[in-house]
Amino acid sequence: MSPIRIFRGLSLVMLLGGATGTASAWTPETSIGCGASCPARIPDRNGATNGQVSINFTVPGGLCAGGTFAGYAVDVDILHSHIGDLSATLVSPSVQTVQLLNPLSGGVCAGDDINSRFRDGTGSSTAVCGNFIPAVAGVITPASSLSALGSTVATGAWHITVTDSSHGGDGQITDAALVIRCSYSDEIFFSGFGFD
Amino acid sequence: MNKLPNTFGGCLLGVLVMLGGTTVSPPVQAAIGALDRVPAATLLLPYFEVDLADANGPQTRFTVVNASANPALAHATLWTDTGVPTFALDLYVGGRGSVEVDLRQLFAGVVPQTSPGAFAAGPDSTPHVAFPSCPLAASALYAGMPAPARFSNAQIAHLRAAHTGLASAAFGNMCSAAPHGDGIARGYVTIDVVNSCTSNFPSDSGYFISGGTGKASNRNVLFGQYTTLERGDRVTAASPLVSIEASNTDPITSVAGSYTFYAAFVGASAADNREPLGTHWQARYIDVGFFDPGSQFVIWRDPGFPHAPFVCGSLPTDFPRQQAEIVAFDESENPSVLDSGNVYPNPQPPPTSPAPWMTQRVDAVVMSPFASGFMFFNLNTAPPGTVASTTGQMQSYVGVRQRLNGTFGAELPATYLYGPQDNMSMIIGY
Repeated sequence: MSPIRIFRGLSLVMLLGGATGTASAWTPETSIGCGASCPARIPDRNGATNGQVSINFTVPGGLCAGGTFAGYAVDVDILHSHIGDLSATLVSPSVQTVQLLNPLSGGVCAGDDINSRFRDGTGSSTAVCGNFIPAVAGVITPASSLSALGSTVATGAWHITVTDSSHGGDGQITDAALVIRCSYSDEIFFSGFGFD
Repeated sequence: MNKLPNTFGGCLLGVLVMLGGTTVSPPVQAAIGALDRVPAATLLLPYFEVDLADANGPQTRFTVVNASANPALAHATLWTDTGVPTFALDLYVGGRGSVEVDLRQLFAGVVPQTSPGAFAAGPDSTPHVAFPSCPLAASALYAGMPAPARFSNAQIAHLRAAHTGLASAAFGNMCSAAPHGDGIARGYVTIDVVNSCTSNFPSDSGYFISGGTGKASNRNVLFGQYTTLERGDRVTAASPLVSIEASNTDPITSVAGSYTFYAAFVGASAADNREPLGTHWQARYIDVGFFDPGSQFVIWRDPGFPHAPFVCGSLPTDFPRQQAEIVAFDESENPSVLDSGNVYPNPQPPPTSPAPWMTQRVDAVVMSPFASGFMFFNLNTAPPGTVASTTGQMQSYVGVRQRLNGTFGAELPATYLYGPQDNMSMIIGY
């Protein structure tokens, strides 16, 4: 899916929602899916060796053209019967690594499933171990800031690695997406639709 | 492997200290036909539910534990609530080891993976071994077991359809479960100790050979537990897996013509050497006060003969399953008879079938007008075509769940009164 299509789609939503055209920024998103690398089984810890699986994303060039890069986010949908076993990292093409998730509750969280967006900033909260499924849901603050990945869109091969560091518990990465957020001024928005 | 060894390690140590440092004792002496909770060659998970639409609806997990120091291979078979086998998998269980299977995950395509190479054998266990016919898997992490990392989409669709009463392409667009229409997969699970990896079902020829020399073994080494989780109602209930011992010397399980646990699939030859379950049960129920929604009964019934997929919209002729008698007693010894076979009242009321399927859970209120008391079950009445028993005996299992949503739940085996070997059909309540 090209970024311009997402941009137009979100712009239309904002227009119907009563956008006034006053100076503001629009931050549409491009979700880059994990393609054939999902779903992926998360191996259980094997003896002294942690179980580990990686899924891949390919970020094309041209994203945020005409605008500015506004940050990354990661959507993950993990089926797992003991999520306290799990940790996750996001690795950029330049091998810059960010810790998304550490073992919850010191590894003893026995909850099931994670269906969350990992994102810096307002509106995100620290992951807690819930009693229902998914045990982790909503917008979650990554264990370390995604801003460490740089201030421009890094094109190329990214991957998320999920590690199972304790015996027991089964699961898979059902789906995931790397989200690129771009910021555009309203002037571009209106120009893009021929309003001026 | 699950976390039992770690989480219970401290408790076990404490018990040993209290006992003055004695070592782990050998299993108690088992008795064939007694339905005692001892390590066994077959385990029965009598009823499972997996809500496919709501993860916080009813879900089921089970754990298989190897009581022996020697490794064991456990063969789990899923059956629908009309007695059709749908899927089997092998579980490697190291000596003193355990394996947990989450059926919610299985129905999502995540297959439990176990292997001799998962980790080193424990200090109280003999070394790991590779069982015959277990081809190396693609993943070196799980070398030795044949289970794929996950099911294909077609396999997932089959499993879901087969257990929810929908047509499955793998069954020639036939159905294989009761049409409840609520998106909850139902059925039961048998877990046999086997000698080698196999994709066979217990209903397949050659699976059992007397003496435990077929696919199935007679080693009485497994025990376990199953847990039903209903997160939406904030209640869980756990119960032991039903132990079914094997013996090729006891007359109950070794003489041709005996009504053994798998008699329906071995032509009543006793080749399975498995003890039968009971025919008569009783258990307490409570539908009063803070027990809300009250007691429920888990009722499993022997298929009696091999069942196959059927044309959707129809049912095999042995459904709905009847029973000889169910009697509810209140706290003052007053009975209420449900569907007695051949005595008062006359004329007979229309037949009622509170437990029409091979397996189900039934609210106590369906079978009793009283708020509390105990229930008596005589679940005999063999359906036409039964291979296992020509005398009307029909084995079953009954458990009772006491629950208060949001507070607690428990499932207990009902009290076992008689089995097929007693050749009894007791009518009471008059």
